[in-house]
Amino acid sequence: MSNKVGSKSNEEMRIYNRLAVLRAERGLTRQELAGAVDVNYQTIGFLERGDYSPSLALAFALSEFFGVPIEAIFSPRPFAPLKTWPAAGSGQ
Amino acid sequence: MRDRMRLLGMNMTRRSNRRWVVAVTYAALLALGAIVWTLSGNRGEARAFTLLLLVASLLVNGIIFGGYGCWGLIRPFNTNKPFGFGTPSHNDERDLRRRDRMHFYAYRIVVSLFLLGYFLGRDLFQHPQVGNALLVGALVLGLTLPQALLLWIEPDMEFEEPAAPEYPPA
Repeated sequence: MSNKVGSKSNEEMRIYNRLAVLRAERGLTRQELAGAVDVNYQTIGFLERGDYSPSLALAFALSEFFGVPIEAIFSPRPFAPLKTWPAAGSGQ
Repeated sequence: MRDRMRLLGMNMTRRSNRRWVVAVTYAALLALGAIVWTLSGNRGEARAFTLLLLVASLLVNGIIFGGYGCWGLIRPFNTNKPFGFGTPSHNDERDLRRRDRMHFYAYRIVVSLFLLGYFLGRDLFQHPQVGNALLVGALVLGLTLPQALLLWIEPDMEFEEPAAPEYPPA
């Protein structure tokens, strides 16, 4: 049985993320972030470059650490730049 | 992979350096295998060198590649305490996933060599020497190939120095 969403394997499906931005915003090193979510710091590098897609458990751990929903960190589609958001530039 | 990737003073975070190490190591093991091959007429010496080849493979694991040894470039694959003592290695989910995948690749290659060696060594094909060589080769690869594949395939690693401690202004 196949469906469109699950038709690509994990390795073929690229997952985009905002980890580098979120980490930079909080002034964290990769080692600090890695220590917080209990992975090796090199794994953070692979995640940020999009070379590795995290497990659901790791995605939840990152979401909890940054205090934002998972979909604010990871997406199957490229993130739109913040300046294109509807509220951007409207003073709201 | 370990956090500090250095071997004999060389920086092993670069994949090209790791590939050199893997190539040189297998060239050395192949040279040892060639000695076994040339001595195959003399059963006693051939056995001794075969044993030497297998011991060399274990040393390669222990000192250079790691994975199944205490030292080497790759953290011990076993996430428990090795032999019940020491500190358990911290392999995260990516490390474990890569480890399992490399074993899968290596398994297919090693089993193919075993099958080829077995059938070539049978009376039907009359190549016992080739069959034996393939079986010994499969043993050596069985001991070392997952680690070698990992070192060969993993991309350049970024090394980040630990953050310096912050001291309050005097």
